[in-house]
Amino acid sequence: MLSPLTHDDPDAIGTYRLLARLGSGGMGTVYLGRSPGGRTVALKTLHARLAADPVFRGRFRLETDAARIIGGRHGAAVVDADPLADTPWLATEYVLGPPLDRAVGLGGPLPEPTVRALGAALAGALGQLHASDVVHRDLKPSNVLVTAYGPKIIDFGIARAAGDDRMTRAGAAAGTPAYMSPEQAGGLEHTPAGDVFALAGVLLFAAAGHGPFGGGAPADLLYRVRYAEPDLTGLPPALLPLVSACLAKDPAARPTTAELTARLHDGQGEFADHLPPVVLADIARRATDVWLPHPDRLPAPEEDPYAETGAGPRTRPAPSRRRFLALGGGLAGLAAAGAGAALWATRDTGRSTGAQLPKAPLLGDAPDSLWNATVLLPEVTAERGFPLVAGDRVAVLAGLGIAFTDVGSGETTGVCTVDTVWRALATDGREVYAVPRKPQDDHHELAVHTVDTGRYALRGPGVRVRGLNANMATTQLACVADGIAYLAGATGTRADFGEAALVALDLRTGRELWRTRPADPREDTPPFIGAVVRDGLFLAFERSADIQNFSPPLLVVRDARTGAVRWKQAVRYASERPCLDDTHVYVGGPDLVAYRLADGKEAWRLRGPDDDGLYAPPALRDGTVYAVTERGAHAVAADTGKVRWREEAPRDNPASPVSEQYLAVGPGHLFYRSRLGLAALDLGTRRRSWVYQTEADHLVELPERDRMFGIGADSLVALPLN
Amino acid sequence: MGTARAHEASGPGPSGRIGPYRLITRLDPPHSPAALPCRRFVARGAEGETVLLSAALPGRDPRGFAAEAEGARRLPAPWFEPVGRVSGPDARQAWYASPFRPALPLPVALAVHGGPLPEATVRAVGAALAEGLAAAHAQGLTHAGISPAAVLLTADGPRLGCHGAVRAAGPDGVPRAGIPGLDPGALAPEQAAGGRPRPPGDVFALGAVLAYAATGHTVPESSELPPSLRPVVLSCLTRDPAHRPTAAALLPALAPPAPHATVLNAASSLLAPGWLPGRVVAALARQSAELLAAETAVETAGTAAGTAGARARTEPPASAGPAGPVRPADAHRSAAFPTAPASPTAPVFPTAPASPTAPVFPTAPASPASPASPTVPASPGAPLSPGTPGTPVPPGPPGSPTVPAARPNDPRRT
Repeated sequence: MLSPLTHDDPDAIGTYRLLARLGSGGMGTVYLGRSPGGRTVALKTLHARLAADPVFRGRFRLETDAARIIGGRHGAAVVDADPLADTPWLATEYVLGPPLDRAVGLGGPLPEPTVRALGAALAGALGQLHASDVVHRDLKPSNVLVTAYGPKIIDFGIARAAGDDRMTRAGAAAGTPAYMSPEQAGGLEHTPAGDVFALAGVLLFAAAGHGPFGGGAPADLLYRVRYAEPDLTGLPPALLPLVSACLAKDPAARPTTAELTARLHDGQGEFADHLPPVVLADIARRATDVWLPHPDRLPAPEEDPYAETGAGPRTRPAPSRRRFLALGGGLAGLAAAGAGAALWATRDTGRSTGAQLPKAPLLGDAPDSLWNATVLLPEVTAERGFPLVAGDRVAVLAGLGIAFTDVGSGETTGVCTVDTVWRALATDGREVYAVPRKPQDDHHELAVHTVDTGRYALRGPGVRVRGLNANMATTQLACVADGIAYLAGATGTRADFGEAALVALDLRTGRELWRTRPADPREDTPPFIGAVVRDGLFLAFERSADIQNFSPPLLVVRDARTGAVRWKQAVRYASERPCLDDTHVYVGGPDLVAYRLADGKEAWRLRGPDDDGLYAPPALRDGTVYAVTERGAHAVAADTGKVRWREEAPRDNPASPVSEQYLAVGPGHLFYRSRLGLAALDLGTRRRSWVYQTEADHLVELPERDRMFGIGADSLVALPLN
Repeated sequence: MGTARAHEASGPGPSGRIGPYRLITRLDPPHSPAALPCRRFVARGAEGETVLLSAALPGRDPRGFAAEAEGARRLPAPWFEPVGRVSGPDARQAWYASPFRPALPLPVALAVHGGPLPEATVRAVGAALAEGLAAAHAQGLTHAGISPAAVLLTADGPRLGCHGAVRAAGPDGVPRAGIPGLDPGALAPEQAAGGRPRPPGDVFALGAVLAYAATGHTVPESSELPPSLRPVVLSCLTRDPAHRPTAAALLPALAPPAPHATVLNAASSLLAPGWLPGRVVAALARQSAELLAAETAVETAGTAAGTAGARARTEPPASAGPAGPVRPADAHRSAAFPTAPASPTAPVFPTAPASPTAPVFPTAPASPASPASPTVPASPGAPLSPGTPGTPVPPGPPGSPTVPAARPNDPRRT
């Protein structure tokens, strides 16, 4: 919600002193600011690099005008604006209420009385706007903020009003067309009746948790909006006739906003009477948190000691966000941002800016990064996952789907719109596979799809598995190898998990090869899995997803064809990416341990630091295991466990490794993350050669192309491996 | 210092200031029947920080008030209102400041809810206060200021203020019945008779607070109380202090042990979503929104009164420190402060009938776009005194349009 300012945020914008960040995304940053007279506002800014572009600047100005037209009763009141400043900005009231998508995410679909109250109030608001000849054009759940006194509508669909095709050209930049009216989808005029159509979709989402036409690629969605019958499952029966009438393809057949208001609600009581407790609690929290002391500005990254002797003048860092800040992203939306911050931060999806970002300042003589593709990554670091290298593209979960970037050039080649999470994505090195969420929670079925990288859409109906729910947070596509998909999930619904299950699915025949339970017999929640298949073995770290479960993770080796457990070992550190060779699997933790693949017996053990430091998951190359702790890096013979060398690092040195990370190793260098950036340790001299000042993490090597990929705060980065 | 002088000096200064703080609004409704031992304001300090400011009633000994405020610092967190700055020993007007967070006095909460609070709310409030009192009593501290109005409801639970009101109101040994500011229903008989405040008196007052929350008055008929609360509330209200339960013993009676609750979090486990009724949450959100939008004057050196309405573009000068003198630029605002007529633009009463053009739910707060109109949080208390408007904040720039900050000399502005 509120997060600290970073060292490179300005002190003030206009006359507003900045207090905290509300959110950030591809278009700009939203701050909490305070006027000299003590008024607190949400300040939306446009990135300076976008402000140089007249199209973006023009759009910003239109947005400012539109926000003024909506006004403070039905929207976020505009307090002040300067669209012509070097960094254009817009100050609005800080709205105390969650976006509707977030409100539904808090506690599931809203009860019917809430939906009725919301619908009546929205219809009333739209009616007033229509009476002023204003049509919204882009009504959708993330554009509706639920306050204690009624909804506020933000972000009119002005991009299209401006005839700005640039916004829609780059992938799904215009957001989802899921709530668009058929006439709008067909390129015809969107009249007030179009807003009524969109409103029905919003109410369906509020009541049932899904939109009228599902998800999927924008093109498919547009087709369904125009020609398909809406999916009204989950809608309370009493609302069916009204919502269906609003979703009529013929605009003239839809009810008016006045009819809607009258038929939805009798106007009794106050709006807050109809809100469920979780939404009320969220409103109360927002109303209170904004008054709590704001955290101090984050310090600048520590000056690296070699900066003066480094390569050339110090470049100002990219206008990047630190990785631990609340970043915009994903369908979950930006938790909190009032006054349109949510949309602001999430609208721009998977758009590549090529190699425009400034080159990072370096410690020593570092090579340039190969490219830097701006993508809108999920807000929470843990939900970003790893880059998936498939053929000549790198896929990453971004914005509204999976963004594909060319391995060589860093250009975004396309975005496959799909509602999923990174754990439900996998690659076998050629294709990317995905398990999309489904609109309904109670589907005891999921499907594994291949992503068609010609159309950037899910291919076909997918290979279906019954008895596994697609919508649980723990639904995972653990890996895909040799045409077999290995899945983990629960058999039940969110209300009743059922049982945890691991399933192997033959993607060619659609046959379920085996189904088994997690290795921990006490576990009824599906565990998080980091898995790999090698030589007929399915090797997985199973880490409990149940926070009440304190048992250690298990390393489990099963027969890939039958699912039979060969052996299992309790370990201290579960890796998302197991590190193994033909004979051993190498596990980090308090000690670095090698287990024999054949029987799980410990082959060797390297004691770790005495002070509770941990070995991060190790990396392997040419018979050497590389492992780091906060105290330094180690190279260990994979077969014997004999230490080849150590590089000690002082604890307080900002170039020392951080404790939790995934390493990469190239022919000449070991790469690890430090507080300064990504350090390259020369394997010959065992000295740090350079530090990339990048936040890139979750490194994945592609030795054939002599490069590696990492996920930064807001970009996918390619760096030379050598 | 004579009483008359103290009285004169006790009102907000001509500038709408108390100490270093500029007053924004009152916290309590102007004519609340609930007795209150102090006056409470929301105010801004020189750094732009917003505080809840409690000031001694006119005619009271400022030293006693300040001493009780200092003493309140020893009360254990989190159920007591934290005390920040306190007026100096020589101040004629005694006050103390707490960091502001949205809060409704218990009587206002009942008013916005439209009657007695649900049992879940009563239990949560009671358990939190019993927990706080048990911790205070264990340290040998007696609160001696508990009354319905002393209890503030926040999103995170109750906060108890007015520490030591009974002690400050009159010396031990002299009957205290009838002293203005003390809620007679919440004053334990032994304290009314002049006895030194002791922990059992806190328990009596807590019982009165719970009775008030559950029925709307501090001295209920036994039959008015919900049956499940009756025994615990009546045991607190026992006349003989020796027969009242201890605060620690109240806790389990008010917070039935939840499956996962521990002794340490028994009260907070009752503060799950839903513990506050919807209209109370709405009133908290409204108070928060209006105070976020409220703007107080900023003086720049040399600002003439005639241009004071134009919004200053700079930070307050360093000279406007905590003890800075009142500047003429504020003078025109004093008339607007607490006794000013209602702002005509604000729909103050939640129950006001909808105008023909109003939207479905007529209670949406006025657009905060206009800085002239934010109404006070006291407005939810309106049902206590129908027709009494909320207190407007000092008006903003005259004639300000929807976009108040447009700098007239800046042609780039839209």
